[in-house]
Amino acid sequence: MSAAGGGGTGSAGRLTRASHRARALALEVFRKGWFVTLVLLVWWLITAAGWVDPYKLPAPGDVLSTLGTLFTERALMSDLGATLLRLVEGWAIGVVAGVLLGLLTGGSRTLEDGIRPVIAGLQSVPTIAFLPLAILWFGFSGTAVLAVTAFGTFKPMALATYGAMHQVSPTLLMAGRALGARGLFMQRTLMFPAIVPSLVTGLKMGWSFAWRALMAAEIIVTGAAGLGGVLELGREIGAIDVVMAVILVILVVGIVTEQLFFTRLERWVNRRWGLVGAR
Amino acid sequence: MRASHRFAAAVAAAAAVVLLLAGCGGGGGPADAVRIGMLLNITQGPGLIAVESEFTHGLAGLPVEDYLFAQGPDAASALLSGSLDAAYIGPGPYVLAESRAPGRLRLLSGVATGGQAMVARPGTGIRSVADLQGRRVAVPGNGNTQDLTLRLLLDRAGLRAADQGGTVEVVVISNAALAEAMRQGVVDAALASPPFGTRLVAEGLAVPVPSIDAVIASWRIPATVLVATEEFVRANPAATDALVTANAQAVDRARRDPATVARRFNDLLAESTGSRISTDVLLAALTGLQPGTGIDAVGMERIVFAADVAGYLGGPVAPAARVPRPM
Repeated sequence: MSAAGGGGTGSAGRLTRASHRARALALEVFRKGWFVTLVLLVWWLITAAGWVDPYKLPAPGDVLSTLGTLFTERALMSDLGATLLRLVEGWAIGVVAGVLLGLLTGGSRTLEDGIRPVIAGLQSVPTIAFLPLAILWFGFSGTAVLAVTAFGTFKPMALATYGAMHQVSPTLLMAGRALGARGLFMQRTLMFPAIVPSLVTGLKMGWSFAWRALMAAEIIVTGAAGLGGVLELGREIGAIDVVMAVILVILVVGIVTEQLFFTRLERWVNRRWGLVGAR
Repeated sequence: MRASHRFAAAVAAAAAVVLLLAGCGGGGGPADAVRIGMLLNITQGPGLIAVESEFTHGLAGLPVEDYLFAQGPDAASALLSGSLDAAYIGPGPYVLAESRAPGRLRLLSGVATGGQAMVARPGTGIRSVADLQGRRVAVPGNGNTQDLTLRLLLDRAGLRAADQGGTVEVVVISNAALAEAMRQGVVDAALASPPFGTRLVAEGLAVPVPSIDAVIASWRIPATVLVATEEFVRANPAATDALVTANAQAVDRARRDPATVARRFNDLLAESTGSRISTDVLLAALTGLQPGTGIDAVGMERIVFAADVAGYLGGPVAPAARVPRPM
């Protein structure tokens, strides 16, 4: 009896735990999906009621159907691949260059006074303004687009790195020096861990700036494969369903990148450098 | 913010979007002015010169506001969004707009036919359509008349564009960037809007391809047509009549006096970019262009066919929409 009763209690406990997990999962799905569902519902409602002409706002189903056609008949996958490759390459080049310059300007008063105001000023110049120059230097090709993407990442990354170095607590630095930390040892054990969380913010910012520069450049340099060219094709032939399908792809890529890469990176950095409790 | 508040905010935002979208589109009453769009392109000559003569006294008492666009698709979008009442555009953008928004536009009149010229980078050896195999050919925009004409040329020669599994890479390069693209060897040939192809030849950056030009000329493809929104035509019949008449006068003047078209084009180019093109180049570009209010039915059919082959059409283009319906 007791054994049977014990087994029953265990089974009930498992059921309760499973029920809790199911409820938690349902709540999670609701929290993350309610807004998208609402937007889709409103969108469908507008098109089904005929409140807006289909050439201005196609139905969600039509956009999904166009998306399928773009993948199967227009080789959208290769355009997506070309864009992502260019994005990652441009971003990586911009990150390396930006971090290096940020470290240099953050560590030298002379470089800081001479270079930082220029970089800060360049932030107000839209990156796409440099495309004509890039076309002349690198040709009317994907290389010019890559250069502009890298430059779009470089500016915020350099400023984020510089800012991160200047936000390190002076108390922390004084404590480090008092304990005998100097030179490279000081940089490695004290400065670097202190600036990493801000660098992650810079990485995210650089990523979004890279996307903007890349799309704008691909729309102009349509000779190279890429989502920007497909977007421009949709605009030029008046196919708003094509435009919306490409926007949808960019949105999904953005969400996936945020969830799978940046959110995880942020969590890891916060755990690794003991910042979780500080939130 | 509590969950219920967030939900309420989202619903309010969604409702705002619904109201905004429901309010899209222009009104259908009589107009205060006639808003006419055109491109800075020499095939639009009659429209360009009409602005400084035929349109200056207004159309049936309505003043004319003219707007310059970079590309035909932009002007077609402006028509469909209610930002323009009428426009001088290529048959390509008109056909594509008609296929996606049937009955929203009305083809009022022809303006000019022909004028397209294929040019090739020196040394490429391009002398016929067959020579375009494996080459990169520039057009000023997707779905415009040059793009459609090129696809028609390829189709008739048994070739296909790379985006349709073929070997000819059709690349979009704006008129402004074409000279640099030729200089860098990025493209092998171009079917450019007049007079930009002729200018490349004059600058030694390209050579003409007469055999291809002869084929295109024989097809009698319309270069520019005059289009208005159906809404404008119905609400303003007198102004529409006046527009068609003024266009016919401007077409006649352009035919008799190409130098006026060249001067007007250069004045507008100087206003927009600060630069001018040699009058000789402009007059050379105008030799292949025939101003006229008629639209060759077969030429128009060819444009519809090319748009279909390219996969650009959103739906069928009704036969009635392929011929001018002045009123």
